[in-house]
Amino acid sequence: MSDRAETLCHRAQTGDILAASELVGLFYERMFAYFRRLCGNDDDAADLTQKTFFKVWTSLAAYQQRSSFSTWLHGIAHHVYVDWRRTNKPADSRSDMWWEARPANGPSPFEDAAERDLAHRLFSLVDRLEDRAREPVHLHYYQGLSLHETAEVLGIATSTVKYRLREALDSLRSQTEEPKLRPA
Amino acid sequence: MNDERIEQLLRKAPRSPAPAGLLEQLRTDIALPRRIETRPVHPVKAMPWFRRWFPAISFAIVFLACIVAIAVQTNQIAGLKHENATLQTLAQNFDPLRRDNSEYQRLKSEHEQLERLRRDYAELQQLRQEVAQLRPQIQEMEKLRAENQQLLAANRQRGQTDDFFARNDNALENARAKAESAACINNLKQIGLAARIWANDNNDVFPSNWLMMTNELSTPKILACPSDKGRSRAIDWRQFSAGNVSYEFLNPNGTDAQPDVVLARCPIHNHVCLSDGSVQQLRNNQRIVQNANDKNYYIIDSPQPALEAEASARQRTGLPPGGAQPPPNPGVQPKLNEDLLRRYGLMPTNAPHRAITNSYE
Repeated sequence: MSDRAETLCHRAQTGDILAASELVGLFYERMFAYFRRLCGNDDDAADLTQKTFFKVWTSLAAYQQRSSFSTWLHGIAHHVYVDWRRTNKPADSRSDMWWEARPANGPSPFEDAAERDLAHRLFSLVDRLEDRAREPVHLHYYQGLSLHETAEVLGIATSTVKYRLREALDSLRSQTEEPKLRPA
Repeated sequence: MNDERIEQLLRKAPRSPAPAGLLEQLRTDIALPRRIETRPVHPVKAMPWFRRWFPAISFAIVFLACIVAIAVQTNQIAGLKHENATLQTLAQNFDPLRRDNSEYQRLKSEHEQLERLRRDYAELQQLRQEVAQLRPQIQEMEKLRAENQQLLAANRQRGQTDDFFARNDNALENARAKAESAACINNLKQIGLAARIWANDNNDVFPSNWLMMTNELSTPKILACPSDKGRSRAIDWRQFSAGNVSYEFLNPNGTDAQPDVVLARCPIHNHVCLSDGSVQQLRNNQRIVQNANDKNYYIIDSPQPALEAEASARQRTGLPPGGAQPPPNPGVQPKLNEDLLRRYGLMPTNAPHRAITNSYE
């Protein structure tokens, strides 16, 4: 998809509307899901998705293909979200119910109910993480970016991304472990 | 739950579906900028340092060159200004110098005129003194001239004037004959010296004729005796012929090892030049004889009354002494036979030798 996206972006830079439309079709769902997880509601997510693509079109001429189009798009989305966070209240933490109410895209990715319950709990724990740990988790695990791409989007070093992910995983592991029974 | 399990579950996070109409809304909001020609970004190629720094280096070189040129020109301008100021200060002193120079020239010319006048005056004074000294001498000369005229008149009256002039003529003739004899001796000495020089350069052998000694003889004039009035003197060797020779060449192709052999002889004065270069005048009891063995001529002491009688007869008749007679017509070249040519040294060396009939024996 990366080569396809680069070709479409190049055509869009030359003024090809159809290529730009096809680019929107390729990435709008990922962008909406990204904002939906961060904002917690569909309206804000749709609004931020529109802002993101508006900035994409306005700054498309400056895109020099130093990174992949997906990374560049996530970088714009990250800045849009940060700007939105500065002017709006922090997002409400999603409860387990919220995650349970999310309809699955196609067949359920979880094997059984126990795994689904565990995943919902894990997702809610992620939403409770600090921003510096939560954003790498969203980009790397939810959005599927690599460590290098995550680092480029956040504007930090790859080693920092690794460190923050390690912190997030440690936190999640400590919170998901069952308390050991004390010997009688 | 370990980390791998956590990561696996996180990657399975559900994706919320986009609301209906969002895609159309996004597509309608597409506002692409105007078409812009983008140039692909090429990685910065490694450029050689000189090519990278060439603009700066070239600018620095030009800047330094300009600074150096400006410094040199400024230095030259400063030097010219200094020189100009010096010349201007010097030019201010020119007018007094010109006036002094003109005054000096005027005084110099006046001084020269004064010196010239002084010299002229001194010369005039000297001439006046000379005139004053000469005036009594002129008066004395006038007096002597008058006395001389008186004496001449008195002598004529006494009839002794003819004998006086006759005695003067004889004395003059004798002096002329002595001078010609001395010149003849000189000629023979030069001939002997020339022959010896030629022999010294040619294995001590004398030349066979006069023409072989043209480089050693200074002029052909010395080959004619001054008393031989019938012969003309050749001015140069191109005009030389047998009629211009008075002397007899008696030792052609001989050697200078025998100094008593006669080399040349003047038939008028009886002067003899020997092979050693000496010249002597034959006395009355001497004569020249050719040796029958070596065919050379020698001087022997043998009085010959007949020759003495002939010489005395010649002296009485006024002819010069000796056997040779001047040619009857000096302007015409005489016709010489082989004997005369050999005698006068005009015979080529490769000619067959024939015994010379000695007329003196």
